[in-house]
Amino acid sequence: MSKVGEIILDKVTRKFGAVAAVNAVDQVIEGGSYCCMIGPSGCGKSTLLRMIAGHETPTSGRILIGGKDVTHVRTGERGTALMFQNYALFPHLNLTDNVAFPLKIHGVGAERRDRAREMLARVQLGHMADRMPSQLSGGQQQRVALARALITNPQVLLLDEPLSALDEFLRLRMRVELKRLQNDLGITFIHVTHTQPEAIALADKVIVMDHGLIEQAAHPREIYDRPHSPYVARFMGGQNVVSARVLTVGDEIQAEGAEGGRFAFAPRAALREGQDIRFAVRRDKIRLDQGQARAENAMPGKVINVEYQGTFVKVELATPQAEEFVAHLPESDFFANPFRFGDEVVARWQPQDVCMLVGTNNSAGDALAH
Amino acid sequence: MTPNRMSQLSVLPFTAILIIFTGLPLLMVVLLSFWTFDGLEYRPDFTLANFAAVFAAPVTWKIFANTLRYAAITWAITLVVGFTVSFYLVFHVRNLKLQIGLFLLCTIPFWTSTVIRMISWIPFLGREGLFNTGLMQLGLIQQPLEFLLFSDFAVIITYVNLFTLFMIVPIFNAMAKIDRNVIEAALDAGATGFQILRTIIIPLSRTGIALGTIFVLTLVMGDFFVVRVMSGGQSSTVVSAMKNNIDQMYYPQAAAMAVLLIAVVLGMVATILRVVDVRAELAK
Repeated sequence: MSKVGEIILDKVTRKFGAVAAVNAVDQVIEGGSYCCMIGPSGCGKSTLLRMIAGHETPTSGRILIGGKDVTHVRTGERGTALMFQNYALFPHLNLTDNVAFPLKIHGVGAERRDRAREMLARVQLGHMADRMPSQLSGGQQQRVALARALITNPQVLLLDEPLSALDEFLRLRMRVELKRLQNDLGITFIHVTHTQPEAIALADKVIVMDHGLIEQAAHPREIYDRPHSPYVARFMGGQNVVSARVLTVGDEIQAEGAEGGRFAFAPRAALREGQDIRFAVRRDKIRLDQGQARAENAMPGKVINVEYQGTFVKVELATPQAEEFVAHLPESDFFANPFRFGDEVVARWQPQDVCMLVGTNNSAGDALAH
Repeated sequence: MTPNRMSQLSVLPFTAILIIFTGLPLLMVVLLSFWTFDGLEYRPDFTLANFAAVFAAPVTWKIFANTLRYAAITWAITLVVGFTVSFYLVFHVRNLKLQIGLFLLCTIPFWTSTVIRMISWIPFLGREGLFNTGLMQLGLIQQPLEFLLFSDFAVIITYVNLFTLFMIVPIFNAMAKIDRNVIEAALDAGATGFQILRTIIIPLSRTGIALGTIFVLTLVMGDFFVVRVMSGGQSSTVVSAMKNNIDQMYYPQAAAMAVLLIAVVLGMVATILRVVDVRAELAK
C-alpha cells in the first residue's frame, strides 16, 4: 500500500502555558483523501493544522507524513503546503513571481517563471500573470494562493479556512473547484473550516474537534447520521437532542423523559437502569400531529416558529425539554396540513430513527457559549 | 457647496501656512540671490554674479563634497542601526506593550534639546573625557585618543546619535505593516531567515527606508551647528560656509549658495521618490 500523503498523528499535544490547545490527539488520515477538520473557534483545529505544516512544534507526540517522522523537520521541507486564510500573497511581487517563489527558494533557475505561468493557467489566471495581487478580487487571490501552494507538488495540501473570506456565491463555486482539484491531483487535502455544510459536502473524512480533543472522526454520513456525543449532534446540526433516564435495559432500551414521555430505542452501549442519557433524532425524521395525545416516542410541544425553506418547512417547537426542538417537514405534507404559531402539537418518531449519544461531551457546540 | 469646493476649502489653512512660512521665505532667498551688495548696501537687481562667484570658488566644491561625505556616512550608519532596531522591535518583541515601551525608550533622548544632547558628548569624548580616562585606567592605552573629539569622528557620532530615530520611526512603521502570514507563507515555501529578510522584509520596508533616508539626508545637509561645535571649527559644510557669509553680511552670496543647496537636496529627494513610490505605498 502506498503511504504517499498519509498522515499519522501520534499523541500530538501542543500546550500554550498550562492550556493544551491540542491534547494527545491520535489520528490516521489516509493518503489521497479529503479531510475536513471542524469545530468552534479555539477548539485546536488550526493549531493542529499548523503543527502538520510545521509552523508550530508539538509539545509532545509525533507527526508522520508519508511514513516519515517529520515532527522536527523544517516547514517547507516536509512535503506539505499551507494555504492561508487571508491568502498571504507577497504584495510586492506579481502573480508569476508569487507562484514561482517556492521554486526560487529551492534554487530553480529561469524555468521557474514558465512553470509558474503554467500553474497560473491551470487555475484560469494565465492572462493575469503580470498583475500585482492588489489588483485581484478575493476569488482570484485565492486561486493564486492555491497555485503557489501546489507549485512544489506537495503530498499534502493544508487549507486554513480557505473559503471563509469569500461571499456566498463564490464560496460554493470554489468549493466545487477544490473538490475537483483534489480529485485530479489525488493528493491529501486537509481543510480546516467552521462551516458544517462545507465539511459534509467536501470531505471523505470529517474530524470534529472540541477543547483540543477529537470528538469524532468518520465519514461525513456517519458524523451526520450517528453523532458520537450531544456536542457533535448539536454542532453538526440537523439533530434534536433529547435527555432521558433509562427505565429498563434489554434488546430495547426503555427510557423516560423528565416530563414523563416514554422512549424506546436500540442500545448502542452498555447502560444501567436509572442512568441519565441523551439521544438524537434527526429533524427530518420527526412528524407532527395536532393535539396533545400522549404516545411512546413522542414529545408534546407548542409551535413557536415556522419557516418555509423551499424543499421543506422548518417548524420549531417549545417542548418540556430545555433544548431547542425542530422538525423538518416535507413541504407537501406541511401545506396539506399546516401548523401555525401557538398550535399544540405532538412530535413523534420511529425507534429506529433514534441515535443514542455515547459520548459525554454535552457542550452546546457554539463558540460563543464557551 | 459642491464636494469639490468643500475639499478645496478644507486644504486652504494648510496651503496658507505653507505659502506664508515656506513659500514666501523661499522666494525671498531666491530673489536675494540675484541682488547686488557693494559692502555698504543691498540693491534689488538681477545679476548672476553671486552664482558665478559661488561656482568659481574651489572651496564650494570642497564643502559640497565634505557635506555629501558626512551625509553618506551618517546615512549608512543610521540605516543599519535603524533597520536593526526596527527589525528587533517588530519581529522579536512579541508583547505589544513591551514593544511600545521599548519604542518610547528610543524617543527619550528627544525629551531634551538637541544642543544639550550634542554638548554632552564633549565631556565624554574629550582628552580628559570619560572614555579616554576609562581606557587609560584599564591600561588599554597610554596616551588619550585625540581623534575622539573635534574631528570627523565626533561629527558623525553626534549625527548618528541625533538622527537615528528619524530612520527608526518610518522603518518601524513600514515593518509593522507587514502581514505576519506573508512571512509564514515564505517559511512555508521553505525560505530561510536570511532569504525572508532579503526577499520579503527589505522590499516591504522600502517605503520606510526611503522616508528615513530623506529625513537623515536633509537633516545632515542642512546642519551647521553640529559640524561647527563637534569638529571644533576644523571642518565645514555648505551651511556652515553660508553662516560665515551671513556673519560677514554677504547675504546675496549666501542666498545663491542656499539656492544651490536646495537644488542638490531636491535632486536627491526626487531620485529617492523615483526609486520608491512613497505616495502609492503610504496610501495602502
